[in-house]
Amino acid sequence: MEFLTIAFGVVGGSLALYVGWLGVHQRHLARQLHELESQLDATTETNHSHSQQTRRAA
Amino acid sequence: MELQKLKCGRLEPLGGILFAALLAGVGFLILRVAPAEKTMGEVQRIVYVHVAVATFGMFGMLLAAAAGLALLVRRDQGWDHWGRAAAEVGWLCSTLTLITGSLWAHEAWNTWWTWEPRLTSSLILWTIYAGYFLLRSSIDNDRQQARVCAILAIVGALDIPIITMATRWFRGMHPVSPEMDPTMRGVLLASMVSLTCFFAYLLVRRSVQLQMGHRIRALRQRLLFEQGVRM
Repeated sequence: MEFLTIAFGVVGGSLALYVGWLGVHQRHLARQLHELESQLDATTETNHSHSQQTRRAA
Repeated sequence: MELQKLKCGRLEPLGGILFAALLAGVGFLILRVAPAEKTMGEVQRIVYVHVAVATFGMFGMLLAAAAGLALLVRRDQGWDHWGRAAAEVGWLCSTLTLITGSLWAHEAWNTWWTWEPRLTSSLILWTIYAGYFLLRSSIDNDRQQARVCAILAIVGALDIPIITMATRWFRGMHPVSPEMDPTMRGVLLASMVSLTCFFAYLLVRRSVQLQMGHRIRALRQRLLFEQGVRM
């Protein structure tokens, strides 16, 4: 019974750790992706208005 | 698949609950429904998990090889995410195979390890997986890394028929499909099907994450470019 407990503990524990890590990592990636997309949108918008101003000035 | 849909992780909560229930059900079948084996007793129950993780451990390498082949033929980097995810889940299963097998062997053969053909070829599979990840971390160029790992996965897949046929081709101690009670056979089948579905779910989730990581790197480069334009 002792070996059975160790075996199930190792398998269950490893899978739980891996699933937990996947969940944390997924959230981290989604946040990063969201931040980058908003940053990129803001930068593109700034570039666009900047180029319009330059054209008008010319 | 559209990345916007992927990052929302629609599968995440539903999949988590579904698989937690499924694995709890399998645990119940293994510990309560399956009868204890006459000679081995309670320890034999390890086999229900051992066979399932061993199967996906081999399947992971086959999938990594198939994805590697697709990458080399189609030159589509997207296959690398599938290959890497398959190798990762496969390596986890391969590690669990060696641990559960070793625990079973200690009770059945009174030794933790023996250089028996199936055990040795399984250890070789584990070292191929380890080599796969060592190679990944040692090559900086993404395309080169994907190509080299694809080749290693294809070569590594040659070990799968050796593991499968080891008990027939060579004389060893590893059991070859022993006679089983119908209930035990049913529990083994249920355990294999549920764990395979669970590993497939892990593989899809990991592959999605790798695609997200790729998109993040591309966005960073674009952002740097856009900021450079303004300066």
